[in-house]
Amino acid sequence: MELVVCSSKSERTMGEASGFPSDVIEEILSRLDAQSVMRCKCVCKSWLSLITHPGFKHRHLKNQVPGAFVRNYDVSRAFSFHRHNSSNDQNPHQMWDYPCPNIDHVVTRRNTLSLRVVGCENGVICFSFRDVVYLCNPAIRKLTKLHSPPPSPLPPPAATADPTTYIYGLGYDTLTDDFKVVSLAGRQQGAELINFFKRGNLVGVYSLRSHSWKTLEMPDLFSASSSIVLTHPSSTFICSVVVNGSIHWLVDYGRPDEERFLDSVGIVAFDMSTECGVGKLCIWWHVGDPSAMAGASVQASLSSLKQDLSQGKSPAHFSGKVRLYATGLCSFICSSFKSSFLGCLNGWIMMLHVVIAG
Amino acid sequence: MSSSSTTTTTTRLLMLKASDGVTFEVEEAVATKLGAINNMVEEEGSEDLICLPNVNGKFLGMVLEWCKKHANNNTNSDKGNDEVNKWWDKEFVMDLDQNTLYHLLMAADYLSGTELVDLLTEKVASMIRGKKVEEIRETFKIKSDFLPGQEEEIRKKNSWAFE
Repeated sequence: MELVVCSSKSERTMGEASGFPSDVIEEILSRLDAQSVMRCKCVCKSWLSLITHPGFKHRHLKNQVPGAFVRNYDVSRAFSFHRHNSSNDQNPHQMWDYPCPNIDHVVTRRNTLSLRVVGCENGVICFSFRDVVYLCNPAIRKLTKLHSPPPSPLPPPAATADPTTYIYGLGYDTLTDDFKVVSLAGRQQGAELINFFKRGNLVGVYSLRSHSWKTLEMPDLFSASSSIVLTHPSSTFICSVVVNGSIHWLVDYGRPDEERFLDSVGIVAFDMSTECGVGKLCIWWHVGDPSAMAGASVQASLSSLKQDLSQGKSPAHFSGKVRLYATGLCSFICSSFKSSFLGCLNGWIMMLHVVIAG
Repeated sequence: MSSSSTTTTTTRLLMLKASDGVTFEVEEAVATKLGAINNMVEEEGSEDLICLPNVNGKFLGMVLEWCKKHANNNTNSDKGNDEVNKWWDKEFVMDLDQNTLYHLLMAADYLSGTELVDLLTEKVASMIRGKKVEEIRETFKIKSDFLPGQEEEIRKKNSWAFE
């Protein structure tokens, strides 16, 4: 008996100028850097309409991994590179590197400790500088400032009260094709950061599409512990990482327990996809009382946790003077003075780290 | 090339017939590197002759050569073999002229040879990357069909990309 392979593909329109069917052209163009794609818009009408289609934009963004070199608390360069292609790595280290012309006004060198990298997601990197939040897409050299500051916590701080400070998270909601910035507000009291997870606090959720904040109330995350204190140095550098549609923060915190002060590590998650459109917060995981454990076992718990998060990819820890943030779907580097939290580390990101540190 | 002395006993052979009547006898493990053939073998079971009216013999031969290489190396996959594969792939696409590249990519796409499509589309992408608009048009023999002024407008919007 004979069989004939006649895929539906044979009936595709062949009107494309280059002779390739449009899905093949799309595959080709999605492998290019943003600059080449911009140029391809000018080649002919069919390429232009293919590139300007929202589906292509999304596909292309997913292939771009943004990053920034953070050195001495300023952003020296923003860059973007193409996701490593498993079957063909003739150019595994292809990177498009920009001096980040628009970043200059974000950073003033005199102000240290003010610039934070919030996170990277879907081609976009998010910075905050003195509670102004910036979104940067290095591939197309675009920098956007959020239109308004995040909502203040309740009750509003008096003039003399401890200053309000924020933790941010960045996520991309695929359902609504929208970037979300989540703000958690707290107070700085001397060297301590307090009230971030106080029940009833306002949590801000910014939608880049609508250019506005929505709010929700902080639920009772850490039950019966009104006095969560974020351990200062690390909380200044809390970054977010998105896994499975939720924004996650690794939180180092302490709380008084009778005579002792307990150090704990937890993960707070924000689910962007809940039906009300605002999302919800929950504690995803936390180590109850690490003071009872050896340091090594805390590290081990974190490792297994991260393994869960990234679905089987191996974690690692590092710390260094130069912090490099870069993220892909599951890769994220965030290092702070106290704890190092590092997602699955691609060899080439590590390589960049070594180059910079060396 | 096929030095598969270890797997002779249970290997099933398939006949593939190209549009120009040329036939190829290949091991099932090789042919099923192609998604279209894999589907057919899984769904239809025991057919031995498969006709491929959209690919001519020359390009089907090249596709199968690639499959053979990758099927062999899959059986004992270690790091070293991976390196050999990459090197071999590089050689495979290095000297392809544009006409061959076009037909090969069309054949790979038609046969759903995903990895081969990746390899070839990357090769085409490398011919576009960093090139000027005029160079791209020339390479792919594309005529601009924009109205006067349209192209300038696009350039103006993203002038940094054309520096």
